[in-house]
Amino acid sequence: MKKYILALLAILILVTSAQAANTNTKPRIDTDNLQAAKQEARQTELIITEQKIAITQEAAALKKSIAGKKETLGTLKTQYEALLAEEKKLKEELAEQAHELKTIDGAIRTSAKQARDYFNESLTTPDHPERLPVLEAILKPNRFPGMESIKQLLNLYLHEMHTGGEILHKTTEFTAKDGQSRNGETIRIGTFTTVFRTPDGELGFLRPDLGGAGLTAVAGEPGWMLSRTINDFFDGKSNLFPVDISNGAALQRIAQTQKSFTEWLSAGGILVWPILLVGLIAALIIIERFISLSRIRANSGKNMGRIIEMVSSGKCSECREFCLQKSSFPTCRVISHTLKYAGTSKEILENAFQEGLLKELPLLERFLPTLNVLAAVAPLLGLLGTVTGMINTFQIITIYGTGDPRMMSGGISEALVTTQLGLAVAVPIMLLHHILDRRVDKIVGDMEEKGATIAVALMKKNPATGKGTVYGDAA
Amino acid sequence: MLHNLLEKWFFHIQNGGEIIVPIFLLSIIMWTLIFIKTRYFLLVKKSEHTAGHTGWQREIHSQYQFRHSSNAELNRKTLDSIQSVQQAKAMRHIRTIMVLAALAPLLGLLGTVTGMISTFDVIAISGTGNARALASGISEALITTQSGLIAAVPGMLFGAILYSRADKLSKRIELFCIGLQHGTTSEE
Repeated sequence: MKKYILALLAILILVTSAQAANTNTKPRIDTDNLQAAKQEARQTELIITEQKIAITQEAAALKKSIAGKKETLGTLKTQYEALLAEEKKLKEELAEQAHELKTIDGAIRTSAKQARDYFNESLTTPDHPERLPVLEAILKPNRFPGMESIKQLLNLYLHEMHTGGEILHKTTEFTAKDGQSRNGETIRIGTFTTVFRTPDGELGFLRPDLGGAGLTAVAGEPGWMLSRTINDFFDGKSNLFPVDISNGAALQRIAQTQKSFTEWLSAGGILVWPILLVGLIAALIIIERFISLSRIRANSGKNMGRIIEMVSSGKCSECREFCLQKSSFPTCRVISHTLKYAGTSKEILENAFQEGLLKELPLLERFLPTLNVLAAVAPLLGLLGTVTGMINTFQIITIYGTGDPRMMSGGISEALVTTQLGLAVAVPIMLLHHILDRRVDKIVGDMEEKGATIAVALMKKNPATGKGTVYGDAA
Repeated sequence: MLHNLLEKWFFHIQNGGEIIVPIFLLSIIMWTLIFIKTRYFLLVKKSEHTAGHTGWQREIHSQYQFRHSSNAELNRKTLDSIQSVQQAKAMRHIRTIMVLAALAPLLGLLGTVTGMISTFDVIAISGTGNARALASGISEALITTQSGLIAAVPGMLFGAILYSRADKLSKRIELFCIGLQHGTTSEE
């Protein structure tokens, strides 16, 4: 375009300059000048036509080039569009592949995390501490875990399988129950169980630490039967060994089942204390009774022979001396009391015997009715605790509903512990009461029998009392 | 067959927890006493059926002969003391059997409670989802109750039977003593 403008401008300039020349020469000369002017005009015309031709040529060339340019523009445009389409397609492809890659990355990371969790809880990890850095490297953020990591992960699992099949006996350091690290023999059975034995004979199970780098002793004692089995295995005496296939859950139960006595009691609520008080009183009474009844000897058959002999030969005072010597026999005490009245009438003698018996009886039967009452009270208190616990449970249910059984277990355990304690206190009291009762019965029976014998012997000895009027009255 | 049954029983008992041990001991003692007592009564019955004075009758008789005098009142007293000894012998162990039979269900109940406590412990640890763990506590509870009742019912039954037997025997002893007294006094 500029070219056109320039050409037009040039033409205009030429035209104006030609006109200017015409106007200037006109007044002075007419004919000569006219000729010259005509010539000039012709010349100019010639130039103009020349230039016209040039310009039209140029314009044509320019038009041609424009057409050419337009054509190239068109082809370029189509090219550009094609490229855009390709770009879009490639972008889509890229996005797709990136998604796929992300999925793979995620899968590897997830499995690596699972592996870390697994190896942290595995018993074999403390023996192979090289595993954890490998896992850490795989799990490092902003890094794509490649084929190498997958291979490493696979190798870790294969190694775990391999170590799961071995039994390892060695001496290592571990964290004991009191939190201090200690040295001791350990045996690991596959991936299931690890036990330790310290030089001072302490036994126990081991579980991996939280981080998986070391071993910690499980709370709770293994119990004597299990201890014997473990000791035998350590000493190579037997090939029997307890294995925990629950991956630690069973070992946790050991500590759970060995809940301390006070913990157990505190689960029972307030009513535990009266039951314990009942048990304590009963225990004191039983101890007292057993001690005092064991001092008292029941069967006095051997002494009886001598006593009868002495009585029938009339050595009453001697016999009393003998009876006082043997005063650990209540029968002898009764007899000595009866012998005071030797020689008196039968009725007095009988009364004296009864008196002696009555003196002995409360001493023998002391506290036994109380014990009976305590044995009856203990289960009742337990029942009361049951009801109290159930009331608590239902109150909790009204507040929280039955959704969480953990909430209810407090009241339920209160109910059950009191019942258990009540029964556990009552059963031995009943049993021991019966034993004591039988013993007292035996002593009393012995006293009655021997008392009757001695009365008979005395009457025989003293016919005045036997055959007299007194006897007749009594009969 | 028997072996399998025993093994089954052993596992059954093993599931019952610790309380099963005292129940077992208790029932052993109880059955021993029942056996002793039943044997005693059978012997008494046998001796009574044979002619003449045997068993306790002879015992009473010989003791009476040994201590008997011419005085009737004294004789009565002597007989009374002999009689009371024999009656105590007849009654021996029976109250123990009854007390043991009464204790067995109490122990069973104790086992129930213990089992339920362990059940609720499991619930507190692992919720109600773990039916297997729950079942061990429940089976402990039920097996102890069952064993307690199994021990108690025959104990009660035999206790009552033996008690009535002993009662009858002591009445017979009494009758025998009265008869003996009459016989001796009429002789005089």
